[in-house]
Amino acid sequence: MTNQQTWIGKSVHRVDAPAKLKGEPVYMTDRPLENPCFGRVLRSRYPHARILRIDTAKASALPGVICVLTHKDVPGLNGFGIVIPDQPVLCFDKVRMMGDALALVAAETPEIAAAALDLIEVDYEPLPIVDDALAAIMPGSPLVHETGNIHLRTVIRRGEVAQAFAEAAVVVDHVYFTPRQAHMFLETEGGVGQLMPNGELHIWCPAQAAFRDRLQVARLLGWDPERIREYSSPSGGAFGGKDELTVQHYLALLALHTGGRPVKIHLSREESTVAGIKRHPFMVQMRTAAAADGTFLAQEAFVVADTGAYASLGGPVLNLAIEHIGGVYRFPSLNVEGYCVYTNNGISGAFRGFGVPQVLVALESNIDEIARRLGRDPLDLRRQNLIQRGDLSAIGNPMTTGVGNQAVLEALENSPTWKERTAKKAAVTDPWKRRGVGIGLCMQGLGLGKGIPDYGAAVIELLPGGKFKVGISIQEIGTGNQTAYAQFAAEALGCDVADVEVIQGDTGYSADAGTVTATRSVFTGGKAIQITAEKMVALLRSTGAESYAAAYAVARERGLETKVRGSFAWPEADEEIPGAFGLPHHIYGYGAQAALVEVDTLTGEVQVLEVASVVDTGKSINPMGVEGQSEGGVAQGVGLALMEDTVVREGRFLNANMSNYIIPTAGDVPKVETFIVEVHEEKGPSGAKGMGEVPIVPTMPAIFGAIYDAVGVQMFRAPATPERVYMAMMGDPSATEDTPALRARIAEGRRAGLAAQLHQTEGEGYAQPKGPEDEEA
Amino acid sequence: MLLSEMKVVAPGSLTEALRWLEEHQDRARPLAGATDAMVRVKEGQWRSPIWVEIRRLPELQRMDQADGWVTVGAAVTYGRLLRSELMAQTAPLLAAAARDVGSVQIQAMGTLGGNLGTASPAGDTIPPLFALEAEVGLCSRGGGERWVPVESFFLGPGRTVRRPDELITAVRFAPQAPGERWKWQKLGLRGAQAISMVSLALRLQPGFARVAFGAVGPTVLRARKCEAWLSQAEAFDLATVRSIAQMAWKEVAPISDVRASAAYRQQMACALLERGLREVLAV
Repeated sequence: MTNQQTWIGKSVHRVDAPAKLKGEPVYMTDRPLENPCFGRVLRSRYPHARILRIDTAKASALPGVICVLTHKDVPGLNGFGIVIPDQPVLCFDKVRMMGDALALVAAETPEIAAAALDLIEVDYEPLPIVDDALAAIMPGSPLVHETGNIHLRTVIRRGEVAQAFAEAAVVVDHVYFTPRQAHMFLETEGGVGQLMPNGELHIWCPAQAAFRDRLQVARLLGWDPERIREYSSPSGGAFGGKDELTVQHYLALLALHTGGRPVKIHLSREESTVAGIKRHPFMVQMRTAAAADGTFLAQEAFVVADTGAYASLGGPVLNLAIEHIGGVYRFPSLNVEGYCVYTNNGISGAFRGFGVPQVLVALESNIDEIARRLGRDPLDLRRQNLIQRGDLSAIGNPMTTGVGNQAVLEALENSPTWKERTAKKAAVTDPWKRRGVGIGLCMQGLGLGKGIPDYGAAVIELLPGGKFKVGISIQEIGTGNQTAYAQFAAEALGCDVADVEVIQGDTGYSADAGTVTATRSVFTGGKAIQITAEKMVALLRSTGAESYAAAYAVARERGLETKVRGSFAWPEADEEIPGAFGLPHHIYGYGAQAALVEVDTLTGEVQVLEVASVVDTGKSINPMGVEGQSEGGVAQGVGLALMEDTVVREGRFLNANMSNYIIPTAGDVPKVETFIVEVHEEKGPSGAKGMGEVPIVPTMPAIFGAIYDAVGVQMFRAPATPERVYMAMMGDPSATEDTPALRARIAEGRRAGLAAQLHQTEGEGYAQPKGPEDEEA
Repeated sequence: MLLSEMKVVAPGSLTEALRWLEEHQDRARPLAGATDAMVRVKEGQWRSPIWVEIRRLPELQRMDQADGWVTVGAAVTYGRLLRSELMAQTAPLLAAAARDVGSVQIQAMGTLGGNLGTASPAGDTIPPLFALEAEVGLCSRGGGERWVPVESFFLGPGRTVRRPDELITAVRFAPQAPGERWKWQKLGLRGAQAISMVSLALRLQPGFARVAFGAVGPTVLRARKCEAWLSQAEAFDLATVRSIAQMAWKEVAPISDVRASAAYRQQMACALLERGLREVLAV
């Protein structure tokens, strides 16, 4: 590979920036419509209830109402879900969360649609609420689904665990809780559906999985997917929250009843919060053993993830968390029992980090305590235990691709935040404030994992004047991949970035390259574009023309196909981890962060002053874009660590809008210094890996470590609000959740979980999305 | 009531505005910056058939000083308050609180009168007005003008002594003394744009102290025990400051909500007073 690259590795201004900065209606929910009608969704009144009767007569009679639909109007499968279709499109027998949909309305105005919702009569018989994931495992708990409350159980045992704990010099054992973080994208879920004159159904909806969405919609309509076209890019933020169907299913049903008029749904912030996907809240009991010389000996964990009323991606989230339970360190023995559990607490699914931040805070906090008890420097203790290439990971996966943990640790060690920590901590101003520095290291599996079809594909079209159009399903959700794709194409085709138009997320044009998830977009799209570009270069050569403009003329003259396509399959690990579907991953991104915080000892307020964020990207395609992602990840990580939680009590949402759901403002986001480390990944495009999720993962443990360093208290529950920090500093009994009673419940939960007869055997029964070949066949 | 069924009228004068209120009583509601009204209406509350827009009324825009009173019109925005030279000289405590209200956009639209009319115990300009012992001017067509001490103005969360035919027209108070020590403190769940969990307005001179807390009771309240001890203290060492601050614990009556527990809020009244005193006294 040549080092003389024109576009790869250069900081390029984002191609989508000018229109967004000018406030142009680039988002699909902002675009003006011709003769639209407006859709609304009737949500449940109860978190858990049997449905006795639904009567839509009065709503249908309201002037201005175009249609009112219920489960009777779902022509195909009344269910959806990425992994298993356990979520009803429109509920019929019971509701399992406040966000459940019972009916749809289309009307002439949004106001009439809202009024019609009030006229729909539903009789409910409330059922006992399951609002605690640990309690849901126990025998005798009310059932959210007939099949049982345990959606997935994953158990991995490796090595001589009992012996390791018996021989250990230090054993640290704590219980950690992480919050139901909301994605809080700027653009809430919404879109437009329209039945076109040619009989096709078109859906304009910001999303993350256009082709899979199309399959899901086709399944519920009982249609041929080819009759459906989804335009899914760009999105005003997604972070995983638009990976599942959001409103496409509602738009599809309504569009069949509006006489060809476009129907628009756009959720309010409150409806988005109640009905939309969240980060899985986790309880993690983690017991970590180390020898006197600091060598990590064993890791034991009991993990309970609250997936809410439906599975969505709860199973894979649990398994990715379990894969990363040992972080970037060697653990010769492991015992982990994980549960993904149904409750009536809304619904959880994909969110940047995908379960890993939830377990990493436990691991890194335990390691900090081991360091303190052994009198070791926390960074040095970590270095001693780093996985090297060729080692086995904690779950027993041979690490055969580029391992960047050493490189990120060294970059962290040299960052001013860590190196000058003594002076920075001493620079505190008010006598009642204390400063501290903490660190966190992480890795993040890239791509979908062992056994799950993962592939990339792209089309490149030669246009008049010698310009190019690149079509790929992977969406621009704000991460900057549109710019990266233009860079890949310009580099491979030898043209200017400005001569490449990138069409994303359009099932009618873009090739199916899967989803924009799992930090797979640069790897997948880059590789697909490079492979496809080779075919385009061959086409151009075959014309013998001097310029691309001339090549186009020649190609047209000879009747050559000016559109080429290419595809590839993601590399995957040789051996799967038994009993853990989708594990292991084959390629990992690495990150490390140091946080400097200031704690007000009078109030418990924590201000994050600065964060050094190290990211191993493999080859960095657009360094300026990497910095943006790094800063955004840290900001979202600060929210996760200190502020954000969707509070659900007895199944009901207490802070559904942004006056009480708190995310960081510019005043709360620290100065972020990003250090890019490029550990070349030979399997990646130009040596790239991708990095989008990595920067949110180490922020929470770094901040928790910094709080301890400042005031000597370990936080066990995120977010570490001022109240929680204050109560912990005061030694208030309310700050201690790890009581004998909790330990007894955990012991009971572990017994009950292992004894439970599961409806579905672990690691089996997942409905697989079809590969591109199947679709084209 | 549907949004489209509501009527918004924009009278050109105070007299005309008062006529709307008098004629329609409970069916009419004054609308200033709409920063609270928009939220409530969206939530299905405050569906008033008639909204009387008062934001641009010239009679509500004053900011002046005369006869020992500083007078601020009800439609003066937070943005004008925090940028005002007069406020910087006569009521920097109020200006500091205005700076902590919402975002720049909210500050551009929201008004002092609106903060009083909404009557939230967490309204940020209210503790300073308590500490300034301000008076609220109410005006009606039938009854003319009356001035109500701010402490008597609030009846509870969202409830005031304003009659349906009355409009809040202004607030007046005596200026802060030039050498006076003062502090505005606000504790929210983040650094900016947060609803107060506890807030404090503090004024201190030899032999004089005013302490008002927000968000720790059904209305903003004065901590009179703390005031008495502060005005009698001869020297302020750390121990004295702490013991006086601890007294705030007994003077507040907070509740628990999604933002914070009552126990924490009670502690934080003390903490904010201690922090405020230590900042102004440098102990």
